[in-house]
Amino acid sequence: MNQAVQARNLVKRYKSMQRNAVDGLTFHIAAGAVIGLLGPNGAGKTTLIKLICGVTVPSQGSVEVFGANPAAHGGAAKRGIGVVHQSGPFDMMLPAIDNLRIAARFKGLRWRDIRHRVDELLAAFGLDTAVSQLTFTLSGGELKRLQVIRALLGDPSLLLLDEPSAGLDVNGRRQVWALLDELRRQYGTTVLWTSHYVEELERNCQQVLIVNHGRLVKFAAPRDLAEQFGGHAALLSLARPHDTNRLAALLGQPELQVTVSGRRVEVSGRDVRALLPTLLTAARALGIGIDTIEYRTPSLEDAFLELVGTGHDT
Amino acid sequence: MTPDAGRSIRRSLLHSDAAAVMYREYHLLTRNRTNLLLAITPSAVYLLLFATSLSRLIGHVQYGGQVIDYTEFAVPALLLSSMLAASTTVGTSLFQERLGRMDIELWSHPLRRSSYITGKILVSTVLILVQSLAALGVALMVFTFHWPAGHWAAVLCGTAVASMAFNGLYLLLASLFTDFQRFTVTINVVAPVLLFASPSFYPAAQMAPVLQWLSWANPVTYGITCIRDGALFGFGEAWPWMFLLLSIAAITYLLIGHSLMARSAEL
Repeated sequence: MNQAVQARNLVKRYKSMQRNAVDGLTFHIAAGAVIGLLGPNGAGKTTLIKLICGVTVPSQGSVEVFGANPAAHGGAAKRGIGVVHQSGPFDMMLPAIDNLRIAARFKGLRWRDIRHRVDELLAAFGLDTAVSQLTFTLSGGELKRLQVIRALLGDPSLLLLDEPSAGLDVNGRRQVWALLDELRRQYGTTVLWTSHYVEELERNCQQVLIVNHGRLVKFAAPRDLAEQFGGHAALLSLARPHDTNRLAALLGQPELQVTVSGRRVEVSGRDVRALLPTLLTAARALGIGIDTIEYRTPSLEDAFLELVGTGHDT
Repeated sequence: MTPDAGRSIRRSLLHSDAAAVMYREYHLLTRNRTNLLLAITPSAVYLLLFATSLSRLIGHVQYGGQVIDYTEFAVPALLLSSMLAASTTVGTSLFQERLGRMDIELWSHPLRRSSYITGKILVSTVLILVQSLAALGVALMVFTFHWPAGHWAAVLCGTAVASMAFNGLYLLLASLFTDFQRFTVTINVVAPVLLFASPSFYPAAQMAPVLQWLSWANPVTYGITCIRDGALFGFGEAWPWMFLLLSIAAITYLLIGHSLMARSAEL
């Protein structure tokens, strides 16, 4: 399969920072893949997006987009890249439609060629009337949707989305998901997507790239990460409160965490699922009555917290 | 050249990155009606003053060994007033671009650094020039000037090079500041100080000693002198000032380029 993005030992150092914002990242993204980019605040996600779209140049190493350097020679490679930046940049004193016209000019597109597609997108995102207003009068959600439309001008092969869901309501988020799914299926668009909604990435991405302190932590499928690092848990409701200590004694293994609260015992750890049948047999033999068992499927969020720690705002 | 080749060149020029920068700059500088109104108002007020009271009160002044009509003497100051107001708009626009993080959006597009700087400088210079010429046009409707054609050409050339220089100075100021409030205060205080600390509405000999010293270091002095000497004496007297203003423009453009490049490396 072709590589959409190839990063080799990528480093970005800012004069104002004591450590590298991106610190030796090496990875590749296959063409047509939808990849989530996760990391705590200040992990280097936005810098990585800016390196890939050629806004800033690497201090060391290299990044290629479909085999070309996006920062070289005026960035001809940028024609195939659409970006939604986290900072939501617009010429606020211009009408929203002028921001789209200007972006089209920069991409070398003729307005009359793309007007029909732009109108479709504006209608789909509910911006067809707001688009003639001055940009600073639009709401946060409208600005975000306008940004997504701007990124889609010229049907990019690579779409970089830095927090596209921030400020959107549930409907807006679902519209973005549906659009990305359509782009991937119809045009094979490659998507790299950051979000603080971990479940959104878990639901929509084939793989997740986790970074912390500018370094690669893991790059794998969300399900694999959840299975491996997510931590399984079972919540057992006992018939008699005094049985909780007996059950907890049964579970006294170092790789399991046991929490007792009233009649409820929560057991978490990687081997919980395998352990459950044995545990139930042993409990029955000891006459411990169990009313209900709730089994919690491991999530990407658990895996993420396990991998980068809980001390950060995620 | 075949018609197809001509069309192809026109198309590539129209869709080049520099054309895109100019398209954006044009929209930014002309769609903000508040800025345009603010830029025109001071010149209109001065015009009204000259047309009614001042020219009647003062009548004539001595300049360069000649006695000349006061309106002829003061009209370059009118152009400079308009020029400074337009330069303020241009500088503010550059600052707003950075404030709104539009620099990040711009560099996401296939855009060369050279095209960005060239396009920005070209359009902003044209805006300042057009606004200054508009002020001259209005002055022509109110007053009558009996200058020979060569002197008119010198006035136009002087206005063009002064527009380039003040565009450069204000853009440089905007690229050096990091705090918008400080920039706004500075730029709005600087404009009247520059205008009145120069031989704008009075000959240098009539200025207070401190103001005379200030006027020596004041670029507005050279802009006014260039246009005034062009109008009254033609190219022969104006060209050294034109050369000086062109030098200021060239140096400031180089510094702006350097400053913007250094800033974009830290995006």
